[in-house]
This record gives sequence, structure tokens and C-alpha cells, in this order.
Amino acid sequence: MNTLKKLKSIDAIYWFVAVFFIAALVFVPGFANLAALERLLSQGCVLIILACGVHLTVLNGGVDFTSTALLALTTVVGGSIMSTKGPLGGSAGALILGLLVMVLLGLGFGIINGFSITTFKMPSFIVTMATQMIVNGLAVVYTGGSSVTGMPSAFAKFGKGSIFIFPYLLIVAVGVALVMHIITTKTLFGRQLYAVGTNHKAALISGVSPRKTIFKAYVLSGVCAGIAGIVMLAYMQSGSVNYGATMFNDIMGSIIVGGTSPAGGRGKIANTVMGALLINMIDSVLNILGIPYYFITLIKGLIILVAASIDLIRMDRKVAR
Amino acid sequence: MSEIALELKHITKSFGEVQVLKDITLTLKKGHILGLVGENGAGKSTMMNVLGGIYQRNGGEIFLNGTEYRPASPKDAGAAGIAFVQQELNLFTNLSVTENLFITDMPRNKLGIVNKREMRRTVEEKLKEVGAEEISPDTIIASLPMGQRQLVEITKSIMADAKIIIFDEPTTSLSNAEKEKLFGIINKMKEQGKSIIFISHILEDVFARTDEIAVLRDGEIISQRKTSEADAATIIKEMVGRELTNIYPTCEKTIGEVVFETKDICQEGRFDKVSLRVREGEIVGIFGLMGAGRTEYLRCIFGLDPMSSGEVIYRGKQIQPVEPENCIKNGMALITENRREEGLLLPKTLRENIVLSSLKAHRKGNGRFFMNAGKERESTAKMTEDLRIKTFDPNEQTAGTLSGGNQQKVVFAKWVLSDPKVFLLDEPTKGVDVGAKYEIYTIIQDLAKQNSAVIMVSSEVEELMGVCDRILVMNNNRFTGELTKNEDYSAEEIMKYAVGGAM
Repeated sequence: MNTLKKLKSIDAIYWFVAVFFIAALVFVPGFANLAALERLLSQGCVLIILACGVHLTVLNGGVDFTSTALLALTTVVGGSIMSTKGPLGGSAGALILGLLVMVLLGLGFGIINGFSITTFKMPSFIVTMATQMIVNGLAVVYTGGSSVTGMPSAFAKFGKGSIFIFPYLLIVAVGVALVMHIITTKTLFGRQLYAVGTNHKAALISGVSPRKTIFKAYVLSGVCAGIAGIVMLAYMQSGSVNYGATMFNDIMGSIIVGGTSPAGGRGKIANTVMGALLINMIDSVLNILGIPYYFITLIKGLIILVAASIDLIRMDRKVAR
Repeated sequence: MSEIALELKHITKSFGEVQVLKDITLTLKKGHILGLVGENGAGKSTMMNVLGGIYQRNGGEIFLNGTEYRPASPKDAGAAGIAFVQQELNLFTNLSVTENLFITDMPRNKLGIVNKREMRRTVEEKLKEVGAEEISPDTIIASLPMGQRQLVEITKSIMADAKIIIFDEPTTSLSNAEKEKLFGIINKMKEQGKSIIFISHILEDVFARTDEIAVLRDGEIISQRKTSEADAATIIKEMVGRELTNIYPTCEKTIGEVVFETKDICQEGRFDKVSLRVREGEIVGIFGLMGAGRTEYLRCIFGLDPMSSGEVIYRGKQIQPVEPENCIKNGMALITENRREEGLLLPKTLRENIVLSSLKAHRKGNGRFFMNAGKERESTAKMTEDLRIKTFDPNEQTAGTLSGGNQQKVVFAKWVLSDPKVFLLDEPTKGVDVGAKYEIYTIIQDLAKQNSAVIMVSSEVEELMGVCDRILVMNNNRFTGELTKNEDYSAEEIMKYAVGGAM
């Protein structure tokens, strides 16, 4: 009885991931080998990091459209700095500078977003959509549209290497997710974030500053986008303005399937990570099966719809009780 | 012997392991007004929700005009002729009166186009029926005062030609004149043969207006008797299950020097140099009629609404800037009148609510970032015990599932925990039952005893006279009178100032 209750209280997303994973292992030939799994995890890294960042902004009832554009911008700027074809000739210093600039770019645009949203009281939807276009434009202007190649060998090793079956990139993504998990569950800021997302007014009257809290969420989201840029660049070994162009749906899909409320105040990082894994599994399974791209988006959309509604139905039941 | 319109027999209802309704047995006679009283959390809302088809009962029977009644949804209840007038108005403030009244079923022509003319005509008729013909059907709800919104809500209830109308605390936000009007309408409904259940915390109204009174306590109907055979002492005793000797607690405390001062507060279009001083350990009441500016004054000096000029001073130090966060940092606290909207995180646990304004004090060690969950639990346990908050587990139960009185105690717990020295209380006992009221008065007295300065806004003269050391009366955004305890407290005097009598 007690175990049954415990099983019932597990969030829906874990069931989806488990069921889908087992089904894929059993029914999809070519899914059940280490190389495929490793590839799956590597591909999931960028999505996990981006989704974790955006998750914070959704928690306070907002959204961050900028992150996918920042992903592209950081890869081309960072890539061009550390490139062996660049002015610094791919030196170790260039590598470090490149990484630093990528994170700082994310931080900078996070600050711009946070500042605009909190100071001018503009909806995050409008602000981040505008900065997304600006960032995208900047990336195209910077590169003239061509991709950036010639990554130094140390960086290539980082992108391809692994400990046992755990790619370095996965370790970075898990690290980011872990930090975000701790921030949301264990820290003062995390508590303020949930409070502001649940009831902006009550938080304000209780001495929790919605302004500062919301600002920090966008800054962190920006930093996550910068880190995601590093992982993307390491994985692809080239920077491109096209990265992330179709990724926003996957980010929001991960967050929503994970049971996070778009109205704010409710949601767990761990579930968003699971959501990202689910979406990646769907992607790779459909790829292995050789299903055309347009079908993949269609099926993904359906699965997100079903998963989100199942989660909501369960939530309603909980509340009614 | 008049006919029976509605009969409830041994109704039970549980949520999980908590039995909210234990034994509800109640009869409502045709053309009668039945008053229903009970403490918050006694089960009134649950009982109404069972009647309204929102919850399904676990046991017992309901007979409507002699036939079994088992509503599966609010729609069923409406079709059966049962209508509800809620405490919290369910109107769309951005729509017109007509649109609100027809919101569930607008008359349409063959093309599906709404027939506005017909709607308007019906609305005019219905408004007239409740004596609210001064309201134009095209008015947007947001521009109507509370009293008139209540009338619209009532009109909505008679749209479907209801036979039984249940009023849930209909008078909480009404002025006296509006209240009179409401009772006029209720009586008119009664004359038309409709049966009415009238739920209220204001015993005086219940005694004056009903035919019968039923008392609900802990999910059980304790008594139902003719109003003419009931007396207030018995009813109160039945409600709380114990004797209330003192309605207001007394305590020994010392009042010190002036510690809190608001100087020449101005707000564009409202306040013009309005000042106030409060001494250490003093409870100052602010009385005023609806719209006198009491709530607005508190919100202004707490930085929630803009202040064009003026100073807020605590212990000789000016609080600058006047913003909520800074006011709180300087030892101020505000308990707003609408706890659900501005006081609580409803979907969050009691613990998360209680530690909300002292999050920083619950960090680990001397660190900046990490919360100390153990310390949070400790504080929460202490507060729920000290303030006697009824909960099965403050770490699990969400604030939204508590009764009104307990919710208000959670709001108080939040502030008592963070230990401020200036308390601004706006209608601290609004929608709270007798028993919980007493406990809240005790909490307020304790705050003053611990040398806090308390400013308390209330619409109940008696409450202010019972709790406060000094009462200021507000009229038209300025203070028009001041009365000191024991010397010149009189309800008539206070009311005289409130309606604009000379200082």
C-alpha cells in the first residue's frame, strides 16, 4: 500500500522516460548499443543546459527566447577567438579567452534582459524576443553568415573525450543541472524565485524583491546559454549562426513535459532534465528508424501534448484531494 | 406547517483521511430564511460545495422538494433551481453587466450572432426585480462600486429562476446602506416564495433577518431552531463549543515614547499632509467608512502605492526610500485585507509561507546562499503551536486548503516570526469567525506587549474600541477625530467623525 502510494507520487515524466527508454531498447534495433547511447547523451547536453537556464525564467512566470540565439552567437564569437585560423593562432591563451568571452556574452545579454524586464516592467516575452533578434543579427553581422572552423586540438579532445562512457560534455551538463538543482531547492534565491513566481504581490509585501529575483533569473539563464555555447562548439567543432534555430520548441517542450507550470511558481530542475532526455530520445529513435524530419516534429509535438495533459490531469487530481 | 424545500440528512464528506462533514442534517422550509453560522473551518464551504455539485458527498441523502437530489456538477445544481451568491464575487470585471449575466448562455440567432437587444431587455427587467434599476446594463463591472457589484451577483442568481438561494457572507464588503438594500431584496425574494440560506459571521444580522438559525461546528449541525427562540449567548456557545467570557482579551502593558511617525504624507489626488504618531507598545486604531482612505493610507506609508511627499520615521530615523523591501528592513510589517491575493502563497506549504519574510534569517550558519531546512521546520513548528494554527502537517499542507481564520493566522505567523516593530494591520479579522478573532486579538495584544507599535484599520467600531488604546477616525482622506481609551470611547462619537463631523 505504502509502496503503491510512493509509486503514484513519482512525477509523470519519470514514467514517460522509463517507458519510452525500455520500449526503444526492445523495439528499436540499433538503439541498444553503447555508441548510440553515448551519442544520445552528448546530443542531449546542449538541450539540458539551455532548458535549465530557461527553466529559471519560467519559474517566475516569464520566458527567455534569447537563449537559442545566444547559443549561436557564442559559438561564432568564441570559435573565432580560439580558432587556429584566428589572430591568436589557436594558442592556449586564445582558448581560455574564447571560453571566457562566451560566458561573458551570455552574462551580458542576461543582464540586458533582466534589466529591461525589471526596470521598464516590460513583458519578458517582448524583451527576450527582441534581444533574440538582436543577438541573431549580431551573429550574422559578425560572421557574414559563414561558419567558424579550426578549433584547437585541446578543445577537440574536450569535445570528443570521455571518462568510461561518460563524455566530458555530459559531465558539464550534469554539473550545470546539479548546480541549478541546488540553486532552486537549497538556496535563498531559489526560495525567492518560487515565491515571486507563485504570488508576485505577496512576495513583494513579504520583503522579497521581485525585481532583484527576476533579474537574477535572466542573468543565470544568459550564463547557461554561454555554457551551452561552449558545449555546442566543442561537440560540433565549429561555430555557426544556425545553431539553435529550431531548438526553442525543444527547450519549452522539455520544461513543460517536466511538469513546470508556465504560470510560474511550480517545477523541478530534475524533471526538466528528464524532459530534455525524453525529447532527445524521441529525436534519436525516430532518426534511427529513418523517419523524415517533418514527421519527427509532428510526432514530437503529439508526444509533448499528450505528456503535458497527462501531467496536468494528475496535478488536478492532487489539488482536488 | 410550511412545506419543506430542501432537506439534508446525515451528509458526510471526507478529503483523504480528513472528515470535513460528519453529520449534516438540516431542513429549509419554503419561503423561509435560514441563517447558518459557524466558525471558519466548521465546514460551511464544503457543505455548500456538496449542495452546488462541486463535491460529491460520501454519504447521506438530500431531498429537494421531496425528491432525491444528487448534483454531479454546478450545472445540475443550477438546473435544479439552486443558486449561490458567493462571498468573493465571481464577476468578470472587464465585461459589462449584461455580458456577465448571460455569460453561460447568450441568446443567439440562427447565424450564432448574439442577440444584444433581447439580452439588454431581460437584464433591465431582472435588475428592476432586485431593485437595482439604477445600474445600466452596459456598465463595465470594474467601474461599479462593491455594493452594486453584489447586486449584479444577486441578479445573476435569479437569472435562472432559482427556488433556493444561498448567500455566503454577502455583506462583508458592503456599506450599511448597501446592506439595507440587500436585506430588502432578500425579503422580497422570500415574499416570492423563494427559500434562502444566509451564511454570515455577523450575528446581529442573522438575528435580525432570519426565521431560523442553524449552528455548524466541526462538520456537524449542532442545532437548528427558530430565531425567535434563540439568544446570542447560546448561539455563540454552540459555535465555539466553549464559553466566551471575554470577547476582547486584556493585557498589562506599558506604553512608551513615540517610536513611529508619518509626517505630512501627501499623495497625488488623495492625501494632503496627513500625519500620525504611534508610541511604543501602543495599538492605534483607524476607523473610517468605505472609501475614507484608511487602506490607502497604510499602503502609501508602506511604499505599495506612490507617495508624492512626506516622511516615514522610526525611532528618529527617516525610512528612505519608502519601498516595501526597505520598510520591512526597517522593522515594518503590513498585513493586507486580502490575504488570498496579497498575503499568501496559496499553493505552497505553510512552512514556505511562514518563513517567507524571514528567509534570510533561516540561512545556514553565517552563509549567504544556503537555506537551513531544519531551522525552517523548527520555526514553523513553533509558530503553528504558538498561534494555534490547525494543520495536519505544516510541511505538507498548502495554505490554500486552510480555513479563513487559519489562513490569517499563517499571515500573522509569517510576521511574528520576522519580529518587526511596527505593525500595519488592515482589517485583520475580516472573514474570520468568533473563536479565531479572539485568538487574533490576543496575538495583536502580545505584539504590543513586546513593545511593537501597532496601527490597525477596521470597519468594526466595537473591535477597535475593544483592542485599541487610541482610535483615529478618517473621513475623506484625512483624520477628523481622535479618541483615547476609557476616556471618550463611544460608538456614536466615532461614527459622527466618520461621517465628517467636525474635529
